[in-house]
Amino acid sequence: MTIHRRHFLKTTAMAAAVAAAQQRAFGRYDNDELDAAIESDGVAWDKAPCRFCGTGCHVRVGVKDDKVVAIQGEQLAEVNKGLLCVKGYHVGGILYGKDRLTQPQLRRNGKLETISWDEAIDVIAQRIAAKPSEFAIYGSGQWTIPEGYVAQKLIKGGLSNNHIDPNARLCMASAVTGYLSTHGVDEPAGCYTDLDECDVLIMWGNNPAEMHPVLFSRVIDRRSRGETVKLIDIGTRWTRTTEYSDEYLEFKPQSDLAIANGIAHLLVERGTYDKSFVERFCNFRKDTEKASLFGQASTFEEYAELLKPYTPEYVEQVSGVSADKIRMLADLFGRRDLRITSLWCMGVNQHTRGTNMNRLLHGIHLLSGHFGRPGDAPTSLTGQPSACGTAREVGTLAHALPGGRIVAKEVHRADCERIWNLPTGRINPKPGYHTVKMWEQFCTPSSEGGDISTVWVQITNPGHTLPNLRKLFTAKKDLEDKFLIVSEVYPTATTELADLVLPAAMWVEKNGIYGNSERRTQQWFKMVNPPGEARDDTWMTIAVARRLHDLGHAGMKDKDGNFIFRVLDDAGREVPVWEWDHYYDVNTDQQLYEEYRQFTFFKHKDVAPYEELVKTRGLRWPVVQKPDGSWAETPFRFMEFSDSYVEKGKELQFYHSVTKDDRALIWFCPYEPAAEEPDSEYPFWLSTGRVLEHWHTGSMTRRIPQLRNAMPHAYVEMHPEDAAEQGLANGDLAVIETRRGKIELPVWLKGRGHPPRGSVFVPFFDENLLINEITLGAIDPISKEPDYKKCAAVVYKRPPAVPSPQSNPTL
Amino acid sequence: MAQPPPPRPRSAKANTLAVIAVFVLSVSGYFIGLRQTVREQVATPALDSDPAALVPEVAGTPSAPTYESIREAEIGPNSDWQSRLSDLWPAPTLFAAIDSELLRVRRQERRAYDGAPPVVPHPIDQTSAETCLQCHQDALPVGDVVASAISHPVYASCTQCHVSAKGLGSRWNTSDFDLHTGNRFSGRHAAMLGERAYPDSPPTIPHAVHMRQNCLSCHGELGTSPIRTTHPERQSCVQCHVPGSEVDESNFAESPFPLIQALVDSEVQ
Repeated sequence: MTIHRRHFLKTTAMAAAVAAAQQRAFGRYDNDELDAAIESDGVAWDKAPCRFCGTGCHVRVGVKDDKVVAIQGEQLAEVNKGLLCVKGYHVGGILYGKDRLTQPQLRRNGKLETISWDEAIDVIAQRIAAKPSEFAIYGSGQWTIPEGYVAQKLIKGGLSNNHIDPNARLCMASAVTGYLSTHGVDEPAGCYTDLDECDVLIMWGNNPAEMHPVLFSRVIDRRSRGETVKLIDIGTRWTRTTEYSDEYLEFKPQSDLAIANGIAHLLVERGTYDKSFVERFCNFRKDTEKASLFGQASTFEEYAELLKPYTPEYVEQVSGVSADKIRMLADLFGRRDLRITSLWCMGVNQHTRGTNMNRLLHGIHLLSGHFGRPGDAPTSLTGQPSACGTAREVGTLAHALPGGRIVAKEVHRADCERIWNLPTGRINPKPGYHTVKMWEQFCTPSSEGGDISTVWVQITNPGHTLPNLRKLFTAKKDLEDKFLIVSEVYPTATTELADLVLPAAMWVEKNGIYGNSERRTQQWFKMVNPPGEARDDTWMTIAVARRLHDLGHAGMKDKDGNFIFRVLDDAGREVPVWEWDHYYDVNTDQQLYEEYRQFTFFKHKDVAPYEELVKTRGLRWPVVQKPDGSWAETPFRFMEFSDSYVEKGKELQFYHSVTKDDRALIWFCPYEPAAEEPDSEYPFWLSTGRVLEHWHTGSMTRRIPQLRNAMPHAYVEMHPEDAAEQGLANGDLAVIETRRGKIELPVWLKGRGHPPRGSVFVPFFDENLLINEITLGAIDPISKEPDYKKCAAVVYKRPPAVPSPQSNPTL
Repeated sequence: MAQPPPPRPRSAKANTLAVIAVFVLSVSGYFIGLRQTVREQVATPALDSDPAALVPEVAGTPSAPTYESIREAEIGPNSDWQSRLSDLWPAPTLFAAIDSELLRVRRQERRAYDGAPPVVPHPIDQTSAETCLQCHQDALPVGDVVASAISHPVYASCTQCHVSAKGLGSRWNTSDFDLHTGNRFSGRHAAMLGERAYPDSPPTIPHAVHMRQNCLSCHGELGTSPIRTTHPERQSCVQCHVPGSEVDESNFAESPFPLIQALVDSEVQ
């Protein structure tokens, strides 16, 4: 027995030593709190945020022999408190799909051939050097902060063309414009604690039971503890979330605008809005003739007048939600003794009036005073792990600069040029192309004005996720002079058309920092080596920049003649991090992050120092240093009890207010019809979305057997009566046709979601059944985010005699 | 003074008429009633007509299959499920002793690694967790298998972590729709035994207890034989069994039994 114990202690010590050695090898720290977590069987545990959604759960990753072997929910993490969802529990498997990309590949004569990294970097550099103004980077909300930061700096500080946009444009751009036009500064005021404190949770076109399961269980588990929380699901289809809800209000697509206005109308008409809150903290706003981000000033009287048509009866007529239910919502908002949290995600954001819908939701919370206390919050959720951290905060959008700055403003450009030590005028004042425009230009022949000739896609899968794929992606196929570079981990619909494929390291194969939906910045260390020749995306970007530098591109030098990505060792000597062998000589992530950190103070989005992030399971910005030297996070922004940037006695201060008077804006935005509505030819609404088991395009989750088996393929959900009318039974193949084309899918009746009559739903994860080939791609005029939730379709039984044009199985 | 005979009241005439009318009505009604109605005439098939045309298609009402075809009939969302209890485990030996190696293999089949939420080996109701709890709230023997009790406090959303290994139960669960990539992930499956501080002392718990607070889920009377408790009458497991050194090193920084430890150490030396 004792021998056993001794043996155990010895192996533990050895494992600890191995782990420590490995830590040094990756230029990292010892993480004190985890020292105790090295187990007898040689499994070393370390923390990391989950790779998947924007919730930002922390996991503990078990590593043995340079392989991830187990995952635990991190009990020290405030976000998930030891719990995960099924994707999170299986996140380790994403590294080990048998078809991982391990070699750079260049397309020659239509075939991808293996080449060396040196050659690959050279191909990219030559392509950029030939036409620097026609080069674009299409990035991701899955970029780590340093990855996004180097891409941002290369494009805006190096190449001066501003053509960089992330896939987050397809996901939360409307939330950004919503926050900006309401608070004057992006990102939520509240945090996940609101979910623990609210009495009423209203979910607007949102299915968190599947998309943000950990946050959802955080709410419903309160019921198991005997607490009361009322769940209201305002949606267009019955989902798992509905199953747990006290109220289900089913509305006609697009009419959410009318519902929000209906609530505001009743609050004003009955005088149940919070007068003193509105007088102290709010101004009114309406749109200009041509939709604009900040609109024009309005008054309460005008606001009340504009709302007048939105009587409960009118709203019922538009939305299909009964007038009584509208009154019920207004009753709830009219009560001061309740705390109400609103959650929304893609239903509100992927909307041709997404900005407006965001504004209206903020508006009813402000109007009713349901803002500024824990549990009283309008909060938008994100779908990607660093949509907030990288896309929004680093500002990797076509018009933005880091830390809430924009290229159009001279002082903002000057500020960036100062921090980057660039000559004045280096940064181009003209915004680059936003996502849809970028791909449109890429897929248009150069002779017809398509002035983007090379796109470098990093950590995303536009060949699967762009709307109206045939126009915005597949059209590239026939264009000889267009060149597509893709950094990826697995073959995808995007690598299918790539001219150059770069094998990337992923998740814990590299150092990283993410920012989640509640302003929480989270750091992790590299734990295992990537397979084959897969390498970090940050390294790829720096290596290309260095090659351009060596080719003599002036933009790759700062005003002192130094390389723009200068990384120094402890002795102050420059480390050649562009050589892979030296990339991990120092912690490049840390240096880039600390450089980026200087940008964050301007809009009071102060992120924590790297060393503080190492010690914690994420910190919510603004993170400010206390007189005793300790660092404190800010769970609730703009609120005096929590946010140290609020002046004493102000209680609530929107310190980046659009109107410069510390007030938020309550907007009036009208109900307007959708870009394409069902008609006699295309009588169904077609909506797309996600499922619990697969994360977005499934390129990672579909390679995990447990998840793939649970959800093997896409399907079309429809109402049984609609199906019967078309002679469709469960499992039959249906043709879904829109004005963009058609695809075939098996019908699933009374399955997981139950759409009402006249609408169908298709999940988008399946690369064999690409629903985005037929979605519309109409965009919000302000946020430029496409609407994936609404277009007109016709559904009918597949004619048996006609052979399928796709690779579907035949009956 | 003699009274004149009362005139025949007018109502009597009416009564007679009414009786006649009722008689005629009922007799003709009787014969009319013997005839088929128009609807019946329409609905009654000619003997040579197509039997499929007998049942009118009403939207939303699936036509009922015959009893003999009911097993193959595609009715309801789960029509393709072919679920038999014995599919879950080929084991008629629930209460017989099971080899611990077999037990380990079975555990592994359902888990990516030790500590991963087990997948559900049968098709599930896609919308409601209520159905899970029907069998899994407490351990329930069903036919030749046991639906094991939940090992952790009841979280309301079962499918958040547990998904079905049988997919949607649809006929499209085929390789044609799948990605054929395979995965090399090899999870940690530690076969562990608890330690004993001294002979006959209660063994320590060799695994993490997070999400395994209900010991009886695996170790209860309906647990699998090698790890089934020998003393089910005792209810408070952690009164005697504590997390072992594999899980919680801090408990073992020094021996809780220094005297005995010293004795054992000296013996070894």
